[in-house]
Amino acid sequence: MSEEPVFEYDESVIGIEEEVGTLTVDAETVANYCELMGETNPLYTEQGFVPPSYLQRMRFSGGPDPKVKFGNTGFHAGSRMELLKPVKVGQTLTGWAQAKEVYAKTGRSGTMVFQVSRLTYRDENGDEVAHSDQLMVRRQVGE
Amino acid sequence: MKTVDPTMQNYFDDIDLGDEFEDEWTPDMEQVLGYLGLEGDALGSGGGPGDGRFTDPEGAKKLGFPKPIVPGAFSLSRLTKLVTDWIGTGGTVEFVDVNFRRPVLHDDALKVLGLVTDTEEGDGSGTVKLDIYLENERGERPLQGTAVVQLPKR
Repeated sequence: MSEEPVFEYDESVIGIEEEVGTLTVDAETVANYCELMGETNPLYTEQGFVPPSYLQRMRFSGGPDPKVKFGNTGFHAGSRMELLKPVKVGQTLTGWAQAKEVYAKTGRSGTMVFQVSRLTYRDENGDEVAHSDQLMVRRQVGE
Repeated sequence: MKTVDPTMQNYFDDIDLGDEFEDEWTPDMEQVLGYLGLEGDALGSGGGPGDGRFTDPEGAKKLGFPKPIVPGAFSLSRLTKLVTDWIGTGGTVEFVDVNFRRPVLHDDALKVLGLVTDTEEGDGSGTVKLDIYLENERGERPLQGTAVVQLPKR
């Protein structure tokens, strides 16, 4: 019989959504981003729409942290972005962060603890324009 | 295998299962510094974890990487760009879902690849499911995932 993995985290923050800032998408920053990315799609270089990947780069402040205690290293294992409405230059977006779940899996390479967090982008009307789910993994490497 | 040009519109009517498309990308130190250093009200400074993994060869070696690695969000952005290039100005992205399987190293010669795996016709547009991935010169796929997009019909 295998032993249950031992890890700790703050369960009280799971499922709680917290506002993590309001950011305006300005034309100059989008232009700089497009130049760096080699963007040539006229939607983004001429028509004032914001590349979906730009949303992935936006920096809101940190959200609820379940403070997972496990292992000695961590890495970013996955990302899912759902786009609900197009975003245009000049819009102001508010980020809402949520720690969705923490769980463990044990396989051939040992136990890994997964933390799923969600960032929801809302526009000036409070309408959701995108969700970004991030999967972080913690594990023990070596002794 | 087709290259992508966002000014050339793809239409749902012209898409077949198994269609492939690609781009190339060799991320170097200058690009990584540019990505991390992007600033603006909405971007702040990307910074990084401060252990040198993204920009310092010695710091990266201490962490077990042969070279500095490329921020996962940057690689994801490049893969997302392949999708938005492919759908042109008339398509829309529903979602992009990616697993980070191994690090992308500076100066990796990457192919940025897409493959049509499913289609569903709708009114005025069609839904297309894609496999998307980065492939390096060692045959590894450090990022791999799926995307679902809407393409206009003719």
